[in-house]
Amino acid sequence: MTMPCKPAAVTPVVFRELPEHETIWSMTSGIKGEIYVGICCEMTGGVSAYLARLNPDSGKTDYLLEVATALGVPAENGQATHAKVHFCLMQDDDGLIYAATHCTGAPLNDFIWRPWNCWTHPQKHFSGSGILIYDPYKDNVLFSDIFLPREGSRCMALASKRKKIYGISYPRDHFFIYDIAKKELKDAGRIGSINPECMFIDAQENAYTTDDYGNILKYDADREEIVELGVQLPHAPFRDGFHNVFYDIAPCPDGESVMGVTWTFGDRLFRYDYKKNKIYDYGNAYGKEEEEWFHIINTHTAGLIFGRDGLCYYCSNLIDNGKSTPHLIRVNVETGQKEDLGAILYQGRPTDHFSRAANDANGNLYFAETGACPTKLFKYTPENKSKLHKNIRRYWG
Amino acid sequence: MINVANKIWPACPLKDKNLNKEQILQFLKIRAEYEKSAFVSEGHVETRILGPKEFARPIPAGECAISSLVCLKNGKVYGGTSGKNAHLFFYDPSPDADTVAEIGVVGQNVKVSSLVADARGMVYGATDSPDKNNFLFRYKSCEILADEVEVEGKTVREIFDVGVEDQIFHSIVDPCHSAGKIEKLTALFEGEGIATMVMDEGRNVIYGLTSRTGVFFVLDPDKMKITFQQTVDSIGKFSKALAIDKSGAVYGAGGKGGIFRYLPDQGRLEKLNIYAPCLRGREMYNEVQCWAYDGGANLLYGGTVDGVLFAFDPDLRKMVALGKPLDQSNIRTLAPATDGRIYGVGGERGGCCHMFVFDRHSRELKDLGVLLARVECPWYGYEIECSVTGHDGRIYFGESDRISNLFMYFPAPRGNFRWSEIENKNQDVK
Repeated sequence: MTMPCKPAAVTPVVFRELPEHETIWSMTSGIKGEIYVGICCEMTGGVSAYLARLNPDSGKTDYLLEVATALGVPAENGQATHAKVHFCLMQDDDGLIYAATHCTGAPLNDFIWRPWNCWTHPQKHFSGSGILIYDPYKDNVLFSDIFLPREGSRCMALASKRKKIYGISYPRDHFFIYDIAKKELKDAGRIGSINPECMFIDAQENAYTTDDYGNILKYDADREEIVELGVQLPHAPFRDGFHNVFYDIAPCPDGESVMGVTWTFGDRLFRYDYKKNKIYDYGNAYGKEEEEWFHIINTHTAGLIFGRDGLCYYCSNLIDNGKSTPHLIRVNVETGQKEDLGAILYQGRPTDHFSRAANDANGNLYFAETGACPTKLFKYTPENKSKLHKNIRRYWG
Repeated sequence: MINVANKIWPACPLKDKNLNKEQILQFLKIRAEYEKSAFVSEGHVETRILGPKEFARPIPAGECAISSLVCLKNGKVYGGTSGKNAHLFFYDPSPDADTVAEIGVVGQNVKVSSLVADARGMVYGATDSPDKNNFLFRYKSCEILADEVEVEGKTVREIFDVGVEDQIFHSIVDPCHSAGKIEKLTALFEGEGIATMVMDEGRNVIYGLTSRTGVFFVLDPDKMKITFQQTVDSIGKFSKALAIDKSGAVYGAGGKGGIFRYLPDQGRLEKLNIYAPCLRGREMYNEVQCWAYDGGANLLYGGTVDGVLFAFDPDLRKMVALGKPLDQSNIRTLAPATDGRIYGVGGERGGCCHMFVFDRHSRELKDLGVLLARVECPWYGYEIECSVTGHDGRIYFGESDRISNLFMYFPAPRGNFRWSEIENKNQDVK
């Protein structure tokens, strides 16, 4: 018999002002404790993504940018819209926000769009990922450009010292480097067919991501080339590693490793020590292994973030009473012990699934729901908010 | 900051709370069809990675872009790549192999621009690179090397493991692999590479074009001697592709897509005052990017930089524009099927190539979609550079990307419809 699920102690922040938006794919912690959110709209054609800012102290949300307008490509122009800021929202130490758009948002009056169908469509094609450099404190867009023709940008990392942005294009799955100073794009070539959903950088600002089989690739920033590191992400025993790519990565407090999770069913939690090029398998995200493949969100796990208590928190969809329900989980990376903090419910009903997490200056954690309308964040306050562990900034989406 | 409070939002039909079951199912079906519709669904598509993955890593990323293919009489397909190291490989289609095996490195920082084979199965290759490090090479397969094996005074046991054919068995108890030898020959032309070559097996001559200045040449491969050479266009505008018909005449194109012909019996190159079709006003930019020869009808097919497919009848000396199969430029490669159909791939570099087909019986010209395979690995084919027809009718497409695979297309059976039925019907009406 399935036990009724325990609700997690979370508080929703609802973006009611955006009634058509249904996904949040990007969220980042601001340098002043604020939370930046990329609010996306995939199914209603002709709607732009929005950049919003949550003030955790007041609970007030500011809508900073209608992204399509900021890029000079109106959302209702009949093209595939700049409806998504996918895992491509970063803030630099100087406060500047870097955001790039992704495609698959439908044109006005359509409800679905795919790049292969419309690559050369005279009206419905995607103009290409647009990049914005935005000063949120002066409310000033410093630069915008359509920098990646026809393709979307699936995930990004900011090399702050090198003044470069690394990213993965969609659908052609190329690793690219955008030079912020020169405003130039360099293509390092195709890495596969399945987009990794995340990349991270080390202290030298080399980038790490994965190929189609979860083999870790390093972009060596000095040599300017992609290197295979000979390490494959752990995968479920009944799978061969295909589509087992980076999905979400959080920097560990040790500054030498990251905690990560893979995409799709049989998702695996792992720690990767990039200094030693060694991977540690933490098994499936939580509980019983789900071997039945129905939809990727059935066992979806993301929203990884370390609390001040040094524990890694994340949201994982578990099957409650036959229904896929996101739970808030935390893991002790030293012992591998996982704890289910309960189901994330909204108005008594299961939420959909979660994409990313951020923290504020007070040690509260925020988890971004995706796949539900209106979009929401859920705030969680760990029991121990005293600063035991330093907060490592995350320079990737 | 912006005020979104009073914004009027577009509506989404899927978010209408009053949809009935039939409407919801209709939307789901539309979505399902849409998601699949961009990809090749007629016939069957597979890929092979460039190596026997059970035993060896494939040709590395950055070195595996397939730039030329040739099919030998024994059905094996040989391919050359471009990159930091340019490799030669073969694919054996027999069921106990069905694998690509690397042969070796041809050169550094070059592109194997062309491969041809003679009647014995000797493969000749040429390179093209901007740094002038170009050469001709020869590949002697194990079949050819077998003739050179010294057997005198030896027992069978002593030479038991000598490969007598290029082969790979990977599905039996004792896996084995044998390949022949690459021999670097000469640099044919100072300061430039070879753009393309075709071979007349009967005459045992190779025809080629240099890549920078467009010199058409005739090469005796046994003597490695050039017996004829002539620049094809006075201002250096030429197309980097050649074709040969059943009479042995060789065809190419100079400026504006103007067709030239080399007549081997007369040892003469002549301009035909016939031009490949193009979009109006773009004559000056016109290039024939690829040819294919349909032996069943003695027809040459060509594809242009504008993305126009044409047919040229060498007997009638008639050029017919068949149309633009894709809403993209660049017909990159063409290959004839065995039944009157011509398959091709077109599209701009850095984009999303589509495959298409022309059927000379039905006269149907059709976009088949983006190449997508599930086997041997799930893979999209965005960049295709070359193709060749296999003996069993499958079409091989060489992918040209940082990571590249050998695509194989198995055409669907063609329908019975012929355009002549329409013509006959109209005759009856008249």
